[in-house]
Amino acid sequence: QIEQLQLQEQKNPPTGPYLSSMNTDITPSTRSVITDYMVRVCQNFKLSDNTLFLAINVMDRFLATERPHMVSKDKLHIISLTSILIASKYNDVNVPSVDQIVKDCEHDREDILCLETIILNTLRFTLSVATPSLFLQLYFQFWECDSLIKVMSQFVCE
Amino acid sequence: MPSVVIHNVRELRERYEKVLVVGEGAYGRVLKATERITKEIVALKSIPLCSGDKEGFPISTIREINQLKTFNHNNVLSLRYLLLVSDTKEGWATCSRSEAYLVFDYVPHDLTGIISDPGILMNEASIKSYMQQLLTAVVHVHSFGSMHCDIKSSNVLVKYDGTVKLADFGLARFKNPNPNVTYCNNVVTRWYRPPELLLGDNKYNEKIDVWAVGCILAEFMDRRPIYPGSDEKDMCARIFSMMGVPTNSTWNNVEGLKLYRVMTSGIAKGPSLRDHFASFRGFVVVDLLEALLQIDPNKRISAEQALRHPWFSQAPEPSKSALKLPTESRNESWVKKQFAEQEKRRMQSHQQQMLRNGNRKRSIDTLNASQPPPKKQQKITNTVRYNGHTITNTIH
Repeated sequence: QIEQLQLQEQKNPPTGPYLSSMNTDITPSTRSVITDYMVRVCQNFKLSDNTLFLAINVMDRFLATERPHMVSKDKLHIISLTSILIASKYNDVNVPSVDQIVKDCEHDREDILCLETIILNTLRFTLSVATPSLFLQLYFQFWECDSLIKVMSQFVCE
Repeated sequence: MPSVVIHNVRELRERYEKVLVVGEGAYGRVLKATERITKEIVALKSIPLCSGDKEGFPISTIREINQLKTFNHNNVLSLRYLLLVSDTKEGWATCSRSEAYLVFDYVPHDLTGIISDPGILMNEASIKSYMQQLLTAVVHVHSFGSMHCDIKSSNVLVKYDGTVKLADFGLARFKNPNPNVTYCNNVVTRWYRPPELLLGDNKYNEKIDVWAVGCILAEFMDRRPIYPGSDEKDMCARIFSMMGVPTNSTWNNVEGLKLYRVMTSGIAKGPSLRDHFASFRGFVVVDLLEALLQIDPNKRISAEQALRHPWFSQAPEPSKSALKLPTESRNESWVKKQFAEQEKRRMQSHQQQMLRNGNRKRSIDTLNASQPPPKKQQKITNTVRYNGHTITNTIH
C-alpha cells in the first residue's frame, strides 16, 4: 500500500511552482495564512485529518493549474472553502452542508457550487491522492507507535 | 478518462442520439444513446447539478469517478468520458443550470434479467464463468484497498458474448489504512446486505462485498434471491434462522454491535443452508456458497481465496459462451416491465371474471382462492423447471 501511495504522489505532486513564479498575488506567507485558516475551519466542522490535507492538496493543485490572472487574493478565501467541501465529500461520512460553509464567507451558494464544478473539472476529478496523513497512518500501523509519537508527528505534518 | 465540456444542450444532441431511457434511480437517469460519429452505443448516466438548493456535485459521483479512474480491468465497466454540459463561461460566471453525464459502453444484460428470464436455461459452465469473472473483478477492486459496497445482481452486467462487467461504483470508497475509522453503515441494497451491517457495524471491511457475491451465487442456484427480506429485521430473521443466531463464542464481540439485541430477538430456527439447497447435496458448489455466506466476516473467505476454490477447477470448465443469450436485453428494467405486464394481465382477467360472474364479492373470493400472487407463481415454475432440467443434469 505504501508503494501505491508513492505512485499516487508522483502522479499528482502536491504543490506546483505557483508560489514563486506564476502568481505575484499569492506569496508563501499568504498560503500559510490560508492553510492556518483551513485548519481552523476543519476543526470547526470536526472533519478528519485526511480531509484537511486533501483540501490543501486540492487547493494547491488548482492554483498551480489555473492561469494566474484568474486567481487573486480575494478569491483565495472561497477557493479554500470549496476545496474543503470537495475533500469532505470525498472522505467523510458527515459532510458539512453548502449552507454551513457559505456562512463563513461573503459569497453566495451559487458561487461555491459553480467553483466546485470548475475545480473538479480542472483537476480532472482526481481526488485519490497521497496526503501526509495517509502516509503517517500507514507508518503507524507498521511500527505500532505510542500515542505521544503519533501526536508529535501529526503536529509536524501540519 | 478525458472529460469533455459541452457548452449547451444542443451540442449534446448533435453528438448523441437518444434511443431510450434504460433506468431511473435516486441519482438521475440512465439513457441508451448512439454516438453519431462513431455509431457506437453508449450508456449515459445523467447527474443533475447546480439546481436550486442542491448540495452541488453529488458525493456519490465524485467517489464513483475516482474509483473508476483507478481501475483498469476487463470485468469492471470503465468510464469513457465525463461530459459536463453547462452554460458556464470560462472563469467565474455563475451557472444557472448544468448537467453532467458519465459515458459508459452500453451493456445489454444484467444478472437480474438473465436469472429471472424463465426462457434462459442455466448451465453450470456459464454460472461458473460468470462467478469467476465477477470474483476476478472484485479481487481487482479490493487490491486497490477499495470496497464496492453495492454488489447485487442488477449491478453485474453481461455482454452478448458473456463477458461480465461490474458496474455502479456510486457507493464505493477506498478503505482508510487505519482499521478504527468508521464508515457509513447504510450501504448495500437490502437483500444483499451482510449480517455485520444489519447489526449496525460501522467498522466493516471489504468482506461485505464477498457476502453479496455469495447471495448472487445462491440466486443462480435457486433462480431467486436467497434473502428477500422486507426490512432489516426480516433480513436478520431470514439469515439467522438459516445460520443460527451468532453469539460471542461463534463470532468475536458480536454482542457488542449496536443493534445486536433488537435484531436477534425472537428468531425461530429454520432449515439450514444445506437443507435449503438439499437438491445440491454432495456438490462442491455448496461448500463455496457456505464459505461466502459465512455470517462472521472474520471467518468469511476473501474474494481471492474464493477464486482458488476447487469448484472452479472441477469439470465442467467455466465457459462464458455456454449460455446463448437473447439479442433483446435482459436487465432489471426488463424484469420490472414483465412484472408490470403480468400484473396488468391479472387485473384484466380479474375484471373479465367479475363480468362473467356478475357477482362481485364471490368472484374476488374465488380469485383469491385459486390464484396465488403472480410473483410467487412465477417463482414456483422457475424452481420446478430448474429442478427438472438443470440441477440434475448439469450441476456437479
